[in-house]
Amino acid sequence: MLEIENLKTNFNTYDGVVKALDGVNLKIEDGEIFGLVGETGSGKSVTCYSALKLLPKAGEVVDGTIMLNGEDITNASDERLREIRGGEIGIIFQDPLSALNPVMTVNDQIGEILVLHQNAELQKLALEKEIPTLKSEKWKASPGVEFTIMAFCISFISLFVMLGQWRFSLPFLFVIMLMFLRDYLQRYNPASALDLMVIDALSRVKLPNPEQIANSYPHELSGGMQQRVMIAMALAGKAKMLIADEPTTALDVTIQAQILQLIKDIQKEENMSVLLITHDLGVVAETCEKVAVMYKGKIVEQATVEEIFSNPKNDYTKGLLEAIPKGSKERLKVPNLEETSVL
Amino acid sequence: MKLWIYVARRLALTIPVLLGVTIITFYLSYGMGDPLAAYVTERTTDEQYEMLAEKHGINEPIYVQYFTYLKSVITFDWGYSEVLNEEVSDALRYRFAATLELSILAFIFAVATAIPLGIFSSIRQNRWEDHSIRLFALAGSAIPIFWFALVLQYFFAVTLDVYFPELNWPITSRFDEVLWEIKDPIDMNTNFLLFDAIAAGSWIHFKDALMHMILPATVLAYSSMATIIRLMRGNMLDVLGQDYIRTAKSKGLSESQITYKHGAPNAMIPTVTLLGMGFAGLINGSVLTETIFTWPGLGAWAITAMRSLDVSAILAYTLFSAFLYIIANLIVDILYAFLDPRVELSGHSSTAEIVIVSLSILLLVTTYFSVNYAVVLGVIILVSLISFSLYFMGVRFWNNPEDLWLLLLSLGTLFVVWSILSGFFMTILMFLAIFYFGYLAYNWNDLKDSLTPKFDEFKRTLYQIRKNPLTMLGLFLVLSLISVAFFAPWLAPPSENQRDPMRMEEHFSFNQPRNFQPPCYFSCTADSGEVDGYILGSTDRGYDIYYGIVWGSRTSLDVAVKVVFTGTFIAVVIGAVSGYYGGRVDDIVMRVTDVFIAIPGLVLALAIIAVTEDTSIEMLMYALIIVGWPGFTRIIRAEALRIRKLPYIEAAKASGASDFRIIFKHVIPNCITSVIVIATMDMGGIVLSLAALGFLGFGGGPDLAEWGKLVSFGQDNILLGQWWSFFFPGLVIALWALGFYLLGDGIRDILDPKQRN
Repeated sequence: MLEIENLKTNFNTYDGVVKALDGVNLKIEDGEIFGLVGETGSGKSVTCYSALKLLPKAGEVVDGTIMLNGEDITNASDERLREIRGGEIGIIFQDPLSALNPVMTVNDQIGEILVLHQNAELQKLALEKEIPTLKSEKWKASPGVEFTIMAFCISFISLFVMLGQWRFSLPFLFVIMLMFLRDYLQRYNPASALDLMVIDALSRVKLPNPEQIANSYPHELSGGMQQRVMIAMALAGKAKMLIADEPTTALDVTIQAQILQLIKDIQKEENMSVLLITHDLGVVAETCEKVAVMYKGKIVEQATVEEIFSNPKNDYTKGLLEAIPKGSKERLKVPNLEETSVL
Repeated sequence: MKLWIYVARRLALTIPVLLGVTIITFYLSYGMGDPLAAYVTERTTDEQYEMLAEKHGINEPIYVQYFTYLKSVITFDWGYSEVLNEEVSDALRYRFAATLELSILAFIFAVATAIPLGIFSSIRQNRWEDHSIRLFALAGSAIPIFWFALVLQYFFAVTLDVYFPELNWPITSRFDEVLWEIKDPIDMNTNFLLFDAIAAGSWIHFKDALMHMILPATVLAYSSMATIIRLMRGNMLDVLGQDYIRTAKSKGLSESQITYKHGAPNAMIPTVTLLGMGFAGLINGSVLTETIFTWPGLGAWAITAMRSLDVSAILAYTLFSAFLYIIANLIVDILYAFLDPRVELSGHSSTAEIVIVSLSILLLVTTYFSVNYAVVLGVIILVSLISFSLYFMGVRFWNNPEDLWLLLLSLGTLFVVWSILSGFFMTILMFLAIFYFGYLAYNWNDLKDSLTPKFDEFKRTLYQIRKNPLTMLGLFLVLSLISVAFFAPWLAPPSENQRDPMRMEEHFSFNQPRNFQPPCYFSCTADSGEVDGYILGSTDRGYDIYYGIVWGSRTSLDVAVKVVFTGTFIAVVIGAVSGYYGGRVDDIVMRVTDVFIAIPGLVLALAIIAVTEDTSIEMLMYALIIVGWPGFTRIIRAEALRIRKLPYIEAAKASGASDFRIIFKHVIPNCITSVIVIATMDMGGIVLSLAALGFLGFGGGPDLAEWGKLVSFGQDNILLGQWWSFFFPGLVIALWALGFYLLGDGIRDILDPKQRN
């Protein structure tokens, strides 16, 4: 599915060049859940951002090849990259509240990705059910703009009434009436094809009451619901691969388990590939089939989950495994980085 | 439903602010000389004077007078304007339409240009497009409004007239009197001329009104555009770094979709909050613009009133602008609630808020029905407020005697302010420097280790200054103008017998000058026969522009340094204490600043100066400090409020540090970045206000070398082709302000850790 070879990424900072990735090799097969573990700053997230060219301005891919289904996308055009993002690879970010746009409803945010990557489906659904593709948004502005128009009209009306020239206020009165009329008519608008597909996407991630959630803003939802919305968004474009960048870090333990279960279920249903980035070995043991351990921009070990846990070869991996609290009286031992062989 | 509660709450909160504004305007009227001067002529007998005094309640005690005034305010009996021979409320009603029409057009101009420019500048960050837009924006706030207006007038009336004599572009007034009143009169029902022209269906009238409007609207718009551009750019940069932008990118949206669908709406939210301020800027600016373009609006009317000391008109104007400003901010607040779905609409009112609002309403209602009862109520409220606060302070200091340093601090603040204003400041600064170096020497061993990283930091700062061409330009401008002030005696030597080099009249009378000389640049000797001729020309009174500019830089530097130091000092102390403690102290400080901020700065300064009839440079400084401190304090307080919630303050508290130590060791050093940036910017802003006051004829005596006044000398002779007198001094003001703005902007970028990469 996704194959990364000798990927090198640098960050240009004032204090000099930081080598965030120093020759990363990864291979993710179709339909497997692949775990990428490592400590903070080891380059896990940078790997996936480099693959999709989502790096911040200071970052730069200097070397390496990225293959997606046998296609070299290292130097792909912007257009091709935009097709891939969301359409072939969906991403879930770690803090769902800050990763969702605070001033757009869930409906708008998921709708966007559907319009971009599922346009044909949208048209087909609209034809089948004889409903409009999108909501008739000809006159629908953002609430702020609508309010501004309203405030202008009301202030002009009051001004003209105050000045004793009420007939000049008639056109403004007319505008206000039109706005109310439009609101009234929109109440009887049939749901558009887009609405139906958004609700469908939301119910796929097992959100209760998707109609209501579709019309709410991100801050009105709980953390678990926000993450489910993120997942729904990543899946909405019918991507064949999902990158989950620490999807459970900002959530509490019970919600974490639910979200991981959801990702596993969906992976099984759709036979997707999943790249799960995490620093939690427990999550890896529970979810993944294969795992790679990263340290200082390099992959130090790559094997199946059973192998890593039963027979770790690399010293750093051993250290990581020893650091897992076992609930015994044995003192926790943090891996001493200076002693490990990778250095 | 929730929204209506929110609106009602915001409306209720404006009542105490308005009440506070009436206190200020009343105090202004009370503080001036004989309030009956306008009614008294040579033939007034003592008896008549007594009757007048009786009628106007002059002999009553001050609190009775206040409530009488308050009653007249709320019943819209705003007095009679002697200058215009009409009721003030009638004049307001008639002139407000003119001002509003101009302001709305200017506002639309400004917003429609500034927001796209700001967005464009942010997506081209640090490229030449960005640099030029930033320069354009900064120039907008640095160029004095009145100078820009004069330049435009000169260009349209004189320069263009040479090439297109048939264009005949109008540079004064609101409409062509001949057309509108004699040749083809149409109904002026609304007094919004554009509407009237449309209602009458007359293209000629519409064109005429629009042509008259374009120049003043452009001037007004350009000055308020600057703030919006810079804010929009900053907010966009902030928003574009957010996580949800990355999400949008990962969905496969294109750059432009990301910018306009995800970036701009989020960046608009904080921008909208500043639009209220932008409106205040328009009111400030309309005073100057209307005066220059003789626009028959409120601003020009207020200036006429101030020049002839028409008290009722001055007070009415001050009150009215405060009222407008509050309304504009109310609208903006409500708009904000609409734009940002995260805003908690219900908001819960504190007890203090409810008490203050209900007391104000009670007071207003009582005043409306009976002044006497209101006096009793007001005295009861005042006495109980004072005794309550004394009681709480007493309890506090009784329980925590170590908090008495707060009292010492306020005494110390007063002392420093006094010392700066009275000229002792340099002595005290020297003492402070000696103490500081002593402290350094005493702690040398501890300091030695901490110096190396600081040196690195310094090198990094220098590197960043050198890297940014705009900051270098600012530094250059600032340094060269300050050195002009320093080397003034050598650059423009005063005449031998001159006692005070700052007085142009003396320079003039000792120099046997010639009036109205055009600039001769470098060939002065050949042209005028004098060695030190008029390099930059002379005014119609014979004042040497070059001499005025060089010595005027001393006035500017003096005023700017003193006002900025005093203002910043007051602001840092009050802001840090009120932000750190929060609670009751904070409530009181914030209500007081609310009242001061509600009155547009230039208007308040003008009113203070006009009412005290004292145009000395010291009075100007007091006025500028009174106007400036609330804004400073607000910013510092917001910083302190942010800082006090940070974990390291908790840590300091947990390790047993006293409040004094936390405020001075943690809170103030951590908001010093914004203090430096604000102070630098205000070095420019204060000179702009000073020049505006000087331009309007309140500039420290008739012949003090002051840039704004020099500009005003040239104003009357524009049509005679005398451009040098307004052009050069205005240019220097603009360069001064631009230099400090660029420097402040650069410093902010450097000190902001987020900008480093």
